[in-house]
Amino acid sequence: MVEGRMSKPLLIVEDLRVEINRHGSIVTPVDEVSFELQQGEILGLVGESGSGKTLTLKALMGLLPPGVVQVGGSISSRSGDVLQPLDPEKARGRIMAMIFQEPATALNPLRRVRDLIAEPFIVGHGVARNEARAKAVALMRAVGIPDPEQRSRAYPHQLSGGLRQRVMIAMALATESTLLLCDEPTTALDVTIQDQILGLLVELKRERDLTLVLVTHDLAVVSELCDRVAVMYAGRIVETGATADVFANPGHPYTAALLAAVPRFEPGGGDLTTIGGSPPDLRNVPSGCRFRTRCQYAFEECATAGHRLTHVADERQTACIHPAWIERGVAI
Amino acid sequence: MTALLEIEKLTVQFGSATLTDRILRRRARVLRAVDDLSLTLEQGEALAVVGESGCGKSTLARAIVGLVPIASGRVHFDGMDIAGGRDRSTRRRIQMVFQDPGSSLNPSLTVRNTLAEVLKVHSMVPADRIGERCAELMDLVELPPAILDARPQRLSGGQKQRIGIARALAAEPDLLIADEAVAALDVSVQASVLNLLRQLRHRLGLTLLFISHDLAVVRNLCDRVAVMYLGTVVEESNTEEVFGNPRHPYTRALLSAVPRIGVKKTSGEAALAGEPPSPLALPLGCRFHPRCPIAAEVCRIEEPLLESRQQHAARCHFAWESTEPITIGEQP
Amino acid sequence: MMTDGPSQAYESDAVSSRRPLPGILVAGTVIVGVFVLLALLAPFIAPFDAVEQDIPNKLAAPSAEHWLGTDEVGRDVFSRLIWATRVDLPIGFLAALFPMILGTFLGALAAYFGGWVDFVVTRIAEVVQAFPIYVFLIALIFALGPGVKSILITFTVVSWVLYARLIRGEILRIRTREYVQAAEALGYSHARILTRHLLPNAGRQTLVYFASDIVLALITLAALSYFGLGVQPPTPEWGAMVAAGQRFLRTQWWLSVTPGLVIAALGTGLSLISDGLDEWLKDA
Repeated sequence: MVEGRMSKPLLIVEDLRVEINRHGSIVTPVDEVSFELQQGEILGLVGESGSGKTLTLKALMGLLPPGVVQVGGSISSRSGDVLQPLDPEKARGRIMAMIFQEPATALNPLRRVRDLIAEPFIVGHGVARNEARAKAVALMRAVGIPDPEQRSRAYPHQLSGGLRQRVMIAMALATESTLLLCDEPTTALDVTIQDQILGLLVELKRERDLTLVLVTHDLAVVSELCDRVAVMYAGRIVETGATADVFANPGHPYTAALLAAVPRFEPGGGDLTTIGGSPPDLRNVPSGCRFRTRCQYAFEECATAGHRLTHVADERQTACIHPAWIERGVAI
Repeated sequence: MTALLEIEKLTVQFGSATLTDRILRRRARVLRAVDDLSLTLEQGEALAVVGESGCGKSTLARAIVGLVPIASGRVHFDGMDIAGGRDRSTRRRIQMVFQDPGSSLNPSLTVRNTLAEVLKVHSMVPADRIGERCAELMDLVELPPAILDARPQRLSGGQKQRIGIARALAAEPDLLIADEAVAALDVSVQASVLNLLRQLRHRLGLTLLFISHDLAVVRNLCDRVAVMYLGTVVEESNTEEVFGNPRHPYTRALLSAVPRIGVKKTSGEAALAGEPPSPLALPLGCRFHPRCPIAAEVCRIEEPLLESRQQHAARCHFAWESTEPITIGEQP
Repeated sequence: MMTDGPSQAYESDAVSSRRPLPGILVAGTVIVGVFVLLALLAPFIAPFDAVEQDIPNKLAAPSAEHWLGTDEVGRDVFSRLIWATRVDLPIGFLAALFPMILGTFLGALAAYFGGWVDFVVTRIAEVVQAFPIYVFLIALIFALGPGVKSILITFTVVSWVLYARLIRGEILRIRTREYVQAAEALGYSHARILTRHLLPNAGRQTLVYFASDIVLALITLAALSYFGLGVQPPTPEWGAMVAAGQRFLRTQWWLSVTPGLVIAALGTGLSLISDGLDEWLKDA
């Protein structure tokens, strides 16, 4: 992974901070989140509900819901050799596209599939309608939709969940974006269909040299697909590194606890390891490390600890200040 | 061992011939959600029913609980025929835990009222002991008694699911049916609810029917597994047999489609191509043949029976062709 | 690792006080509360009797003695406005309450049992709705003869339909909720499922509509009195007062305008309650 650090990042997110102002009380669901996205990689943003992973993605896309505002931090993107601030309005549908969790609600129900997919060609690239439709059919074939000519005339509700997700991917490809932001793209799908879609993403990434950010709660999906992973907890990234390394040798107690709680695909059913307590109420987060109230390794300094990610090895950063956990990171 | 629940040739269908159908003498659009299904549940065991959405597993659960009418077949519970209907005391003995903690509790009742109602209606304890029993139930599901006076909207998903379990246990059932009971929970919460179910099962001697799409969870919790596809059981045996020596190609595909931690997906190849056909138009012959990688001529013509060898049953013409154990994918 | 997890999860925050009442609900309640007080305390507040005539002093302009002047037979307008609260308020309330009870009952039965029960209720509702509402109201009152009793009967017959539709839709929506299925699985009786598990959760829209329906009933009552079909003289009633004062609109405009303003004030209060309830109960 050393070459990963040498290459220039496609996207740099620094100290991203998102706030919600509800009845005068301010909560910060995304707090000082920083990461770099390398050209051609798949980065997983993983965490439980309320960890801020989806809002981070929406902030990148400039699609934060009403009442939710980015109040700090910067997002820069690279074009050629120049890093410049990312303008989501301009970047959306040109260099980046989003794939949503629920294609049933994310696709306009009143338009035929071919027009949905053709639209980015017409709007973004000024292609004539008939040519755009032909391109749409070709894309449908590329994303593995059987009988694309016939299905191109269908409306979204006439397709199964798996096919709708393929349509959404085709729409993203039609924008000719090379950066795909995926929000739980397979969570609503059955396991054999999920398997197909994940395979499709792997193939497309290789063929088209795409860069992907994948938001998910499913550690196994991250493990199958992502080159690097950033683990989020209560609005912050607690650990990041190469997926295989992080999962084999977690450098933060939260990552370790989360991994231990996943039922493994192995014989024998003993009690699963659980994490005591529940994530903090965002209106009232603990000082210092936000995981410390649930952490069995917490010691005095954790209450005052900075939460900055620290490099402990190449490509490996952890927010934990406990020597034992830093050791684990270094030990890789 | 004695059988607590015996299901023979059960069929559950939705939609029936309407008046217009009868006048026009056309075939009614009938959806057979459960089709010719046989299953036996021994006293005290935990049986998992797994399958993808639309396979009929939830309908099977609802038919056993008595929430959907049974079209044909025999359902014997503790020696009584309950296919045609059941009295209130028999109904009490089969309870269900639902999937969505958000909608499984009445929002206008406090937890205490929810539990007390069960105790009162079924005269489970004398009136003056109801308060005491509510506290015991909270203890059983590992919640503090203070929660008794809260309304569901104040509780977390995990807490609501525990109350759902407590409500079912208040009726002191013999058979507990859990319909995707942990599917909507975060990983760490899911682990603690799974542990709770395992403990309760042993402490109270419950018989458990665990409906799930998540094979890893099933492997962790259950003694036996039945795999459903398009309304019927295609394979059934003890957990280790099904996972270690699957005989039906669908089971094999399902097992290899599950994402696993530590296994990276490197190609777009999927375990299973295509999507299940509509249950409104079942394929002739074996219902799995259109997607089956080993389908032969006979599979298109003749529907295989659920054939059993040494307590391992599979509904495939080629299940017992070779007795070699079949390994799937990259087993960790 | 830890089994005490879930108990920690229940934070003290969770039992903190309920969320605050919306301002408009408070404002509406204050306005309507004033009217209720006026009705209760009318004998102590009203300076004059409501029906006692003083012909020589008719159509007097507002003065220190008669704050809002006197009407065409010399009755004190201010006092009549206050006494009318005792007439309008209960009629408006009951004219919305009776249809709510009938509509909720029939709508709930239709939604819960479906089949022919639903068929019959829906058809009757369609028949009632097929008539233009005012024509139907007026025809019914003509048939029954003017008076409070026939007003209440007429309102009940005409406007239960909306309540039935509201509650039917809501129940059909929550019927599939898992807590209702859990109640069925527990072997609860139909009556129990309806009254404890469905109606309390289906009633939000109904309650909101009820508050605004009182306004509608009052306005309709005023209109009926205007045509002489409502409350009969000499009983003080706002609608009738507007009608009676109309003849003197150029000279003694306050005779019509003040009861109109009173109706508008009460209507505003009830509307605020209705909107406030909607907001307050929204995601409770």
